[in-house]
Amino acid sequence: MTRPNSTDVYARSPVSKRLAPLALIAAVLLLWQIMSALQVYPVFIIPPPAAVLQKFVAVSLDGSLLHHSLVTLKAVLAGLAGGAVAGAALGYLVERSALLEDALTPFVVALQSTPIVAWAPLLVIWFGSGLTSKAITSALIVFFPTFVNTVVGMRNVPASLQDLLRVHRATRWQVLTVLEIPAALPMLLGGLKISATLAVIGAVVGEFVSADAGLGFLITLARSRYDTPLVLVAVIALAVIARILYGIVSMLERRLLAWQHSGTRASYLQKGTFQE
Amino acid sequence: MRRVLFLLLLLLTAGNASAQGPVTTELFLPFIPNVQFAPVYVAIENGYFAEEGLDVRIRHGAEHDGVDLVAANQLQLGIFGGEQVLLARSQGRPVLSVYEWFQQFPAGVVATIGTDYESPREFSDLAGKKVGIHGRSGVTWTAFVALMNAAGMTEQDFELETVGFNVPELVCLGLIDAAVVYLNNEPLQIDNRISARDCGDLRGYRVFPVTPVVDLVSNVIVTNETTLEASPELVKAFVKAFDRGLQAAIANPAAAMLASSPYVEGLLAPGDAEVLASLASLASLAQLAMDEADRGTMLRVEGEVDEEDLEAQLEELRATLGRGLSTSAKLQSSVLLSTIPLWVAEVLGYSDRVSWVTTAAALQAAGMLDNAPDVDLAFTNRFVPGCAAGDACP
Repeated sequence: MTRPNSTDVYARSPVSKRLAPLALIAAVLLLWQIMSALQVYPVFIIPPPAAVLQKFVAVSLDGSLLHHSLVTLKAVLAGLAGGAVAGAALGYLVERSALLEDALTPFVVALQSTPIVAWAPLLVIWFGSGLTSKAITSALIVFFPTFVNTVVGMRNVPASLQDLLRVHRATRWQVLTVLEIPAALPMLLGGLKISATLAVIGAVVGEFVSADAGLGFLITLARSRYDTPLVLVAVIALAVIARILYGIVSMLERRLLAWQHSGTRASYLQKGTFQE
Repeated sequence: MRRVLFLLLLLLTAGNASAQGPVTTELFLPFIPNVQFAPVYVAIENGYFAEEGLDVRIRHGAEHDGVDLVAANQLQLGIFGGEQVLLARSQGRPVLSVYEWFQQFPAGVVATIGTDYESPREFSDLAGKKVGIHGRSGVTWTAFVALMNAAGMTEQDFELETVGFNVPELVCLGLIDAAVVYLNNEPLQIDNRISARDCGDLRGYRVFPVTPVVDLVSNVIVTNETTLEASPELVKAFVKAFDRGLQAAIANPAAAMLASSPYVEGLLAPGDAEVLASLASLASLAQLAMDEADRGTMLRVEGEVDEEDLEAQLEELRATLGRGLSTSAKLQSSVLLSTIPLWVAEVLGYSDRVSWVTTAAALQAAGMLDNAPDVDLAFTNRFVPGCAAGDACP
């Protein structure tokens, strides 16, 4: 991306792109260490990085970090899959049907504007304190960005291409798979990227309300024992999970949207090979 | 010239006098505004804090956050579970108890009665049952662990399910056989549901409180070591006023309900305030013959606590308060009346060292304490008015 009016002297290269976040992490660690050494806050409020590292090693070796991370990851993936599929499907149907749009949109917006923490205790009563309630909490938070991006993506499908397919007598399925999904994919994947990080929040909110395991539970447990290093280890683990999921969706995006840069899809459309 | 100097001196003195207003201090209370905090509300509304030169503001929040705020001296005073003091001290937080407000541990286990109307008779009868817990931390978990240890049982003896604060619903739906509860709250909610025939097939329940089995430290007033050293007069003034508020709340629960109503949203419905005011003043009228200090006393607790007498008085009060109040105010007055027995003691606020040692042992047995703290540094009785006045405290 070029920035003609920018005063940025930073010269981007593949190496600098990788080094920049590492440099930032190093700067944050240094600042953290300085704050800790100067005791700006007592060590029980901001423990030194070494104490957090020590705790990380301890909970990694005894397997508890992996155990709690996997429990949360399971809820996150279930919520992400459920919320994304429901959001995309309903988004598509709403875009296709004015009646559904009029009927559903006010409720979807109302649902989105209700804090998920308000739903979480009810979900525990309705679905128990196991994986289901966490996955649904996560799915609820994932649903909205996917839904909105699907609707917007579908609306961005160029009318000229729709006309073109109509002229070529493309079937409904062909229109969906060859035009609508590829055209909506950038928006859809944009929504999925946001959803991937939100899914983690949803699962952890569920675990905060009621859980026996998971990183949200680990944070609650560590807080109850005033173990601030363990709280930080769990928080960092959550951030890492969210970053990995974001990275996976970004990678998926690069692969699925490669055609945008190669022009493959356009040439495919120009061939006019649609059959009735 | 002298006159000018005199005027300047007068002005400076006047400015200084106006600056010496009440000392504003923030008190951290866990949970949300609730009638259980009535002694604090009474001490504010009756002007006990003001008489000690304090302007007390209340801040609510999560208990652990509050402990950290007090430990970091961002706040000077808070009310927390005694076990929190030990847990916090074991992780290097310089906090300590200066007044043991609750003399009995407020948690226990409520167990639904089976079809035979017999079981469970004892806590150990819950082996193999599905038991709901709020979570693996806090007051209720400490209570459950203490009961388990006393019965020689482990977590594996139960089917534990974390249910948050949904116990009444789940008990009535029959989804759990027992649950760890706050004794002054959830059993009353279950009672209400049973009365309203909104509790499924539940025939009744049995309560297993912790205190008769293990004497654990309960809710205490907490400060930090810096405040104790730098401003002991602040702690002394606060504790003295709180003690008066506690005595007043115990003596006249109707007046305590009235004092709580500005703080607890929805506590009273229209008409409740008039009922409570007349009850509170009736107590005064009925006792005109008594000493002036005794007027307005609905509940009399003096010296060694006679539990049977106290329960009989509370039962009478429950009936009296229940007569003209709305349903919600009736429930809240029941909560208050069920809480009062947890407060009363021969010397209000006194901490027994044995209960601190027992609590530390229970926490260690549960694996919640990595480093055993020195219990003697975790509490002091030097500010307890009852101890300062007489020789009742060891």
